[in-house]
Amino acid sequence: MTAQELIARYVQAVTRRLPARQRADIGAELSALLNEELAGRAPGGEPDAATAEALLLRFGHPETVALSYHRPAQVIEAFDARLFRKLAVILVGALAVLGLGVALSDPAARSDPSFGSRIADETLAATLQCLGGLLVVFWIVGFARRHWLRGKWSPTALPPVRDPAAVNRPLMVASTAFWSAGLAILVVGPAQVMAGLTSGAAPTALLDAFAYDPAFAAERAPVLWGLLALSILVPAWQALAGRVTRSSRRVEAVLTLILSAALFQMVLAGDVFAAEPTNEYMKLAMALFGGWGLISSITALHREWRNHRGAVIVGAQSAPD
Amino acid sequence: MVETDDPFAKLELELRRGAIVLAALSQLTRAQYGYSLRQALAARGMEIEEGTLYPLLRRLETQGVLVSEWRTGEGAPRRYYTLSEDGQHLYSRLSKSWHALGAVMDGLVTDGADQ
Repeated sequence: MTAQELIARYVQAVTRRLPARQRADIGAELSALLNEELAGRAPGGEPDAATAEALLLRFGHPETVALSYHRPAQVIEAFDARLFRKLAVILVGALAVLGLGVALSDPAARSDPSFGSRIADETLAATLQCLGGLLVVFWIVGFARRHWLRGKWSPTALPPVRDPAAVNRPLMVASTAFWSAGLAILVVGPAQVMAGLTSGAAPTALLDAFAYDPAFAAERAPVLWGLLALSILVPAWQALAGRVTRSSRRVEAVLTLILSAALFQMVLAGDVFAAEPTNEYMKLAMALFGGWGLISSITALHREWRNHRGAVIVGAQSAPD
Repeated sequence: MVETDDPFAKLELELRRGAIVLAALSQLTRAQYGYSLRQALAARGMEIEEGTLYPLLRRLETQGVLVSEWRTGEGAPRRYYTLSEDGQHLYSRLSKSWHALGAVMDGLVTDGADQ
């Protein structure tokens, strides 16, 4: 390969990463400059490919050079990347658990040999759709922030420094009441609650849609209700204490971890509602809650372990010899 | 664009980065094309990598600090840059800031060496 070919390739590699309106102009200038540089390195002679290669290596990676000419707006802004990664992992994990749950519990799986691959294809399509949707949401949020929301700010308008142990008592009480009411509806049964509230006037189709699967109601539901009740007790305990203590943090993390594992197990074990699509939506919700709980509890436990380890090291260092 | 892990090289690069714009502007009171500008700066002891200087000229032009035109005299066509009217005012102000900063830094570094 000749020196000229190398330079032409390099210029093309840089300019193809630039907006179309800039390509020709920057390409012509870059080509002219690189040729000048090359001629300067081989005065009086024909520059060889090795000299051109050394020049281009020094000039920099085409992507880096293109970025120094034009920096495009990010699809996901840097400070959103962590949240995006977390949500993407939860979505992918939840859909995988849901797909596996359907594959294991559907009676059609035993009679239809193509059932497994069909579920895998549907799960993959749903995963890609969800990730695409998530990407669009983050892109819109980033675009809005860049164009309209990132205006003037004032240090006095920033939120006050939060005491991590402080508890918003009214909020905690409201949250405990809300989740308790939700749990009560689940324990009694959504169909029974609807029938009771409407004095039996609710359409039968609606009641059927929200009737529990008999096996779930008899075997798995009591365990789930028990775990949910225990989880609700933690915010109640924190509301009473007025502060988030280390013990309550640890109990909450362990309970959330157990609840997440139980939710996954129940999604995989069989149906929750007797009718579709209520059953699938419920399983998806359970898988999403399970994924969120798994990640948040592992993060919380890791933080507790790190704090505990830090405290032990500090204690050992400050202990008298 | 040489990447390095050496802390001295990194910090020196940071130090020089702030001076590169002013160095380039100082030589653009008359029209220069990228290569001749780099040579002129190198001859005065200010070596700037090609991959840093050439995109910088385009960015300064986009900001209205420089104006440019293609010239096709003898030899290959070249894009010549020179200070715009705004660029001249900017250069004048930046030069004053540089002198003031230089005086402050001299004092600080001398104090640091004496302690």
